[in-house]
Amino acid sequence: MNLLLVEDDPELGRQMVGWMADAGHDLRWDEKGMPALEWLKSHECDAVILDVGLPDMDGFTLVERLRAEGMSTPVLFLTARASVADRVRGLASGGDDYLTKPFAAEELLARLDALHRRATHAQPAQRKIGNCRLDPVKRRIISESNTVELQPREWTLLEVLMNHEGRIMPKQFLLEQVWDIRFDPGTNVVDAMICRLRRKLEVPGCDIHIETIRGKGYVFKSVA
Amino acid sequence: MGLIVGSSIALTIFLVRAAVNQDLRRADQAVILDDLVGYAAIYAHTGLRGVQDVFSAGQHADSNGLRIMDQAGHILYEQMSEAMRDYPWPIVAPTDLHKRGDTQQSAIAFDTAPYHLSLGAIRLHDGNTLWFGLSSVEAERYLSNIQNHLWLAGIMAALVAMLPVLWYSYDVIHPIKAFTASAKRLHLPEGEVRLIAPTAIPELKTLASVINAGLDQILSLTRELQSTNDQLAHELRTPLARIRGNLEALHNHTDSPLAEDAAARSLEEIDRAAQLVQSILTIRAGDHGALRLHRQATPVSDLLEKLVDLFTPAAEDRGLKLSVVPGLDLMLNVDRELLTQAVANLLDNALAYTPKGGGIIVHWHGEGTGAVICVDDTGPGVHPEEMHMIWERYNRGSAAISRHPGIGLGLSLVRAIATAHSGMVGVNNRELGGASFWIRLPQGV
Repeated sequence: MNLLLVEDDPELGRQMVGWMADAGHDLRWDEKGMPALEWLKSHECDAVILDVGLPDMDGFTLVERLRAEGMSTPVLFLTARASVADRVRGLASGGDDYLTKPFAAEELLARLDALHRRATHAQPAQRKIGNCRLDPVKRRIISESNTVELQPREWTLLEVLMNHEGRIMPKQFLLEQVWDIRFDPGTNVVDAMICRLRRKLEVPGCDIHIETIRGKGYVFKSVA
Repeated sequence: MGLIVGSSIALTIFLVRAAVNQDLRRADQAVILDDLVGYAAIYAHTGLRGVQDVFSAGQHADSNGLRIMDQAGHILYEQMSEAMRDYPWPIVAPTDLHKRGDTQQSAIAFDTAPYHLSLGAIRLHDGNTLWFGLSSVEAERYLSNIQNHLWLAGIMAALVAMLPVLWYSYDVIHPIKAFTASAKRLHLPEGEVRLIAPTAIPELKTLASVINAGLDQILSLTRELQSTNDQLAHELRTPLARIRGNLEALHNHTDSPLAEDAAARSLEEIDRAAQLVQSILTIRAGDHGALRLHRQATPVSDLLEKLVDLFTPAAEDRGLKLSVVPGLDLMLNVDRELLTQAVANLLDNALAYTPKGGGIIVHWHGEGTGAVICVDDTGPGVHPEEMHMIWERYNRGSAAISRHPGIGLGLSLVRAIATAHSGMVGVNNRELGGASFWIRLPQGV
């Protein structure tokens, strides 16, 4: 992806430049809002990572001006403010997503990926895992010898994992995508649900693997 | 009000009328006595003819009558109007008039006539009796005039008396009502409601300005709290983000499993610290009415069913049965995310303290226009002395200290969120064992 980062914190900026390079994205980094706005007018860009507090203008204003110019580039806000009211303001100004500091590199990558999918109307992931067929209407996994039915949330979780196959999915990202929850509910609810999904997917011919990476999240891999 | 004024005027009229009536009767009696003696004297000097002449010459209205009868009861002379004739005049001479000049007075009421007849009798020198009657028609007319004037005066007086009442209503009651209406909106998050009453009396205006000055101060403190909260969040979260980024780099690029594990643990700690900062700031703002709420119409059933759905796998892993009792379709105007977090904290609490094999039941009911959300468990319950304490920051019940890690912010966060919604929280022990934690929320505006 072609990305633009607008962030005035040099340390965070430096880190993000590294992450995006590792992930294979092209990233331009501006420390102020005005040059970023000018650059966007003349360049193709897949998504903007935008800090809310900038030295020359606040991020909300920048997005409002961007949208007023008719540009629909997806914008992801970075902010140190976590209140719902702030997030609502961010989305109301024309932003597409909102990420609170501190955040995991994988969280940022997964969200950018989701924004890009939405913007390009990407097709959902495959309809097959190994030798198993997926039936999204009845939420069933059908193998030669067996049929497994999933609960609605289990199905959504599986879909999110499949859509980001091979990537680390942070717990917070899954909570938001699957349950629409933006806080840590304390109890290991995601762990429990992942375990349950793992057990259900232990079907012959359905060679998938959901790995837990401590401190980071989960990775979905289909062996086939 | 009209009833009071009307009845007080009526009472006045009744009393005045009774007093005047009594005076008039006395005056009538004096007139009758005077006339009796006068006619007796004329009769003595000039006989029946003289009486006739004098009576006829007098300007007697319809209300006077004269009758002279002998000792046998024969009427010798009579002169009166038709109306007077309707009264039952006595047909025999009174027996107690023994000697010349004796008089007697009586009053005769008559069913069909509206007035009564005051009657006097005098024994004449020749033994005959002279009756003189005076109908009350004049007196009644007089009384009725007085009554009409009294009504007029009473109503005029009442109207004049209403002026201070109207003043009281417009300059005192009206502003107080306006104050009450404003005061009911004081809990609104904007905090910009003020007491306004331009027509109020000076004392009330002073009261309003004193209260408004206090409210201004509260608003400025609230805004200050909000802005320091924002600043604190920024000051704390930005360095956490920098550290987190570097730890991730360490985690991803180290070859040492030991270093990778240390980095993973540190990442978990950083996330916990960030959550903690958020909780503390939310509690601080919620307890002081400075939490910015994003209210939206929220179906209670939907919110609770989703949460139970989220916690069910974790509950089953712990050998607990988690369920929600279907209830009324209630809509609350609340900050959906914060309320979800509050109930999630209660569920987290219940999962932590309920022993294996137990159950957790989420249920709700309407109360007034609001709702009460309850999370019942089959855990050890809460010691009565700790029922208030557990909601305080950093306080944990005795059941918690030995067995579970944490620093005791969960319940204070629940309380702060409820407080920010003008609601309440509480806990009671259930009869069958276990605790029931509840959040009471008003409908919201």
